[in-house]
Amino acid sequence: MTRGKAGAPRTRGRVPRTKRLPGWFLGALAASLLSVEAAPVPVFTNAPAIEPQVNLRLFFESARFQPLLELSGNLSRSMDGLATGAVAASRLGVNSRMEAGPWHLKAGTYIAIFPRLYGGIFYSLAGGLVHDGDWSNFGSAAAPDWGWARSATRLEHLLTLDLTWRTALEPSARWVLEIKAGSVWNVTESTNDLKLRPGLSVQVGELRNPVATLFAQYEIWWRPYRFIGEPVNLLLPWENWVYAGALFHLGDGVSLGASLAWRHTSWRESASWRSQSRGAYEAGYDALVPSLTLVKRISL
Amino acid sequence: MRSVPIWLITLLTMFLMPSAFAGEAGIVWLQGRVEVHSPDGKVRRAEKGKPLSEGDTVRSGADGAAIIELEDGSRLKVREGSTLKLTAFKLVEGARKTTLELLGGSVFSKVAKLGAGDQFSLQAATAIAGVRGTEFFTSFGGKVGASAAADIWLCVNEGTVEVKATDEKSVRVKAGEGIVVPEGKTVTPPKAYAWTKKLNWNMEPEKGEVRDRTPLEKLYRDARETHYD
Repeated sequence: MTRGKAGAPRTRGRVPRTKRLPGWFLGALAASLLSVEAAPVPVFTNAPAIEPQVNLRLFFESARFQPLLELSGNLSRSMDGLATGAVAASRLGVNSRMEAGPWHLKAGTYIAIFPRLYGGIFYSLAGGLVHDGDWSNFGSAAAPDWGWARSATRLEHLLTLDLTWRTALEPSARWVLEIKAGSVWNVTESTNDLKLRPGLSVQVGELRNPVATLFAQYEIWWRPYRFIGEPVNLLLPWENWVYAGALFHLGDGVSLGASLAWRHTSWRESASWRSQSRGAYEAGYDALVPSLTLVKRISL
Repeated sequence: MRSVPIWLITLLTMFLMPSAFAGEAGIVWLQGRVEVHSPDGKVRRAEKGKPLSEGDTVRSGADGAAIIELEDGSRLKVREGSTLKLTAFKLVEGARKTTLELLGGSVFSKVAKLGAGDQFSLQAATAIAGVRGTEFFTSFGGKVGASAAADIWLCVNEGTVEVKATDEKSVRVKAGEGIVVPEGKTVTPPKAYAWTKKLNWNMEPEKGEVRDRTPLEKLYRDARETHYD
């Protein structure tokens, strides 16, 4: 080695030993890179899950407004995810959640804009909602502990705006087509969900005073801003629902309903996962949602 | 709403009620705006105590209501937004033939005792009823769907009403029961509708409130206007 100006060592095609990365560093770097690549995606071993739901709805009816008060809740929810280690697998409530599922208390009103076209505005206080970002590493890079965060007691505030349009498919209006489009802004999480729901219903029994209403609906949700306020491909749906059910009109404004829905949710990325991995994933979650609904109407 | 002329024919025994308008008919109570349209085209404000003539049409405004007493003591309570024509109500050759025509809205009818040969007819859309009771309520409903014919609703407070629609199938409606004739075509089976219990049947102002404010727009469920979630 010769010395150049100012005593600086001169090199010729060989890295000075002082600038070589130490072996331990390279090993740690390799280990960390390996751990980032290995960040697990959610796996739902108990799918399709069964998530019974109960809905209580109170409608107030006037010529133009139909205020609504609703209480809804899932009695159980299973959101087990892949555990990377024995520690995570044993943490019931993080990886395998069998607890009170999503619930909400909603209040607002429908407003008749034009004949058969209604606007809706509602506020909801909700808990137990699940977001992409809930898929997290509760451990460390060296000892990861991946799972779903608890959310049953996490209160969130939502604002819903929607439009509902209905038309009769035949002159007596026994068969009705409904199309509902809505936007749900989660103020707490800064997410905005979009919904589209076409549906068909038929009145069974006496015309004008049916004993029951049968219905079938398809519902699709998009969640364009999944987390950290970053947009995801708007064309990718977040959730799909298929419903079928019946509402029995018992008189005095009381209706009792039962329905069965199939729900498919696509989970894609989370901040925690993204910080420790590259690319994207899509984990599908299926659930059967049997529901019991009680509706009461009060004329104003 | 307009009627399609089909006759409701009533016959039966009722209580004889004294009339304040011997040889005539007249308004015994009114509230809000009520007009009387004469056959000659003249229109005047209805006044309590003033007689009505055959051929007069009583029309109540959005806030109006009236109780009409006929010569035989029968009473008719006209709700807001209603039009009732008094086609005929006088004694002819010893028999009383009362003919009324409900052109829109709703009317309570309390029919006096009929003698031999007497007839009481209420003409409304697409339903024919042989009334065997003393009190019944008739109303035009809404028009659902693209149909041009309105629904007809009828319920009975006392006695029995025999109803026929265009299909000529006769249905007996008992006290406390009601029927609907969707688009005026077929009479539904009688049943005890909850809303009929809320009707105010009182036609005697001295006994209390006579105005009936039962929300008739909710007589039936239009699936296009009903939210379930």
